[in-house]
Amino acid sequence: MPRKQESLSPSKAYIDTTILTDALLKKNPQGDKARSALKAFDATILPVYAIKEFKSGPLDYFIYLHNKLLSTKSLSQTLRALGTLLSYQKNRPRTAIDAIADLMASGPPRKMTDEEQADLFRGALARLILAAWSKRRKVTTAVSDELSCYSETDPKIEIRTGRFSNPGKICKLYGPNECCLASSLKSRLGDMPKLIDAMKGQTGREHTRRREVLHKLANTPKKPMSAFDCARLGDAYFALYAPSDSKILTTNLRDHIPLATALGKTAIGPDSARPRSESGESARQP
Amino acid sequence: MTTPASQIEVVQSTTTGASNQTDLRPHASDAITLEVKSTYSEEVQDLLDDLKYIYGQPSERLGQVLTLLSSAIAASKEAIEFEKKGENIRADEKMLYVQALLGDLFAQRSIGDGFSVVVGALTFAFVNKEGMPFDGPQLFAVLRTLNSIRTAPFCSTEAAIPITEVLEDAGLCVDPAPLSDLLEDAQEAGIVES
Repeated sequence: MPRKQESLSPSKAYIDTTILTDALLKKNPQGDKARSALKAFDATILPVYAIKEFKSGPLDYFIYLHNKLLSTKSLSQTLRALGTLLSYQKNRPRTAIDAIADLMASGPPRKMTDEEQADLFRGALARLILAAWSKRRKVTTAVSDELSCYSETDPKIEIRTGRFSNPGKICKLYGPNECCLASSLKSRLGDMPKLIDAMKGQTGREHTRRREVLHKLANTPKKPMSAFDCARLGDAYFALYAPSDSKILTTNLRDHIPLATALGKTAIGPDSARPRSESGESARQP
Repeated sequence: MTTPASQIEVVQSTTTGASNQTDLRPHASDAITLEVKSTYSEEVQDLLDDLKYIYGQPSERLGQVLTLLSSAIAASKEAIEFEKKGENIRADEKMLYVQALLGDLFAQRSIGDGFSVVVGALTFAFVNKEGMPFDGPQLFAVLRTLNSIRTAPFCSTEAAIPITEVLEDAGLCVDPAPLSDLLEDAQEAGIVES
């Protein structure tokens, strides 16, 4: 039986921040899924925008945890504080905090003090942060769409205090300069209403901010685009910049599908990315 | 030449908390504690001399760390030999001893941040095995890691990363698994946007 024409062309995935995060930071089935999904494509393209989001979101959270452990010198206090921040529902059967408590009760070969446990976790976080950051450009076949106003400043440990610092979370703009994406975005103003339409019914802080920046671009294109505007584009960035012959690979299909579809593109989840050997077509539609 | 664990001179003691004591018995509140004597083996003395040349007069803590590491390395080598001969239970026994020593090594973590990261990674490598025995390449990876940290006990956290990668390359998970869940919970709660 002749193979489908589509199977002859190389498969290409445009990687969003959720996949990058899972592949670099998660050592659980979710992480395994992301890592194998990346292998299912002939080409995997990582835009620098995803690195920027990764640094200011998940990586920054782990840096916060590291510094919290350093400051409290107590795993139990840190977990209590986290429990408050995460505001778990009372009837939730098991949380990550329970899992950590169980691990420390049964895992290490000898009973550790609370401070030792804090140091053990802090060291693990430091290792994970530095290892993930150093691998960020190595998990895909290519890194694309460099951002001239964004420099990937390394997170580092301050020698004097032992604290992690995470400089350069957003683009650096000087004087009247606007974001390096401004000119390309303003040259395709027709796409903005399509994206705004696609977001109808979506609520929440992230969506509200995205809608605001899309409205600003569509209605007042002469206004300069700030570093915050750039950061607030979020998922819309991937719909706008994914090459038309690629599929956006994400775990957040709920938000990505409407945006991608509005611009005639496709978003798929890691479950739909099957190993190349298993199917003539590398990645299938969900 | 390596120093087998049995050659470390030990003195039974009932006191706890002194900086030069090591508790090798897991989960035992009334554990017999072992004092590592300040007379070092020839091998440890050679290492101390080398490090003295680089860093100046070594501390007593460093001597203890090197002695513990030598014991762990010797036990790892024995485990590899047993595994090669198919004596898997004896190999696993040796690794249980290495795991016990890791607790004592971690207690000496003030020697350096990189040291703490490497010993922590080894600790989680054992924890994540959930009691399953190490295979041949994993035993070699543990040995290589112990050797690396023995030659650079004062390494920085950054320099510790490639040392621990040897463990990951052998299929060992060196991160606490619940950290992944912690990230997922934060994403679900909307604290982390991604």
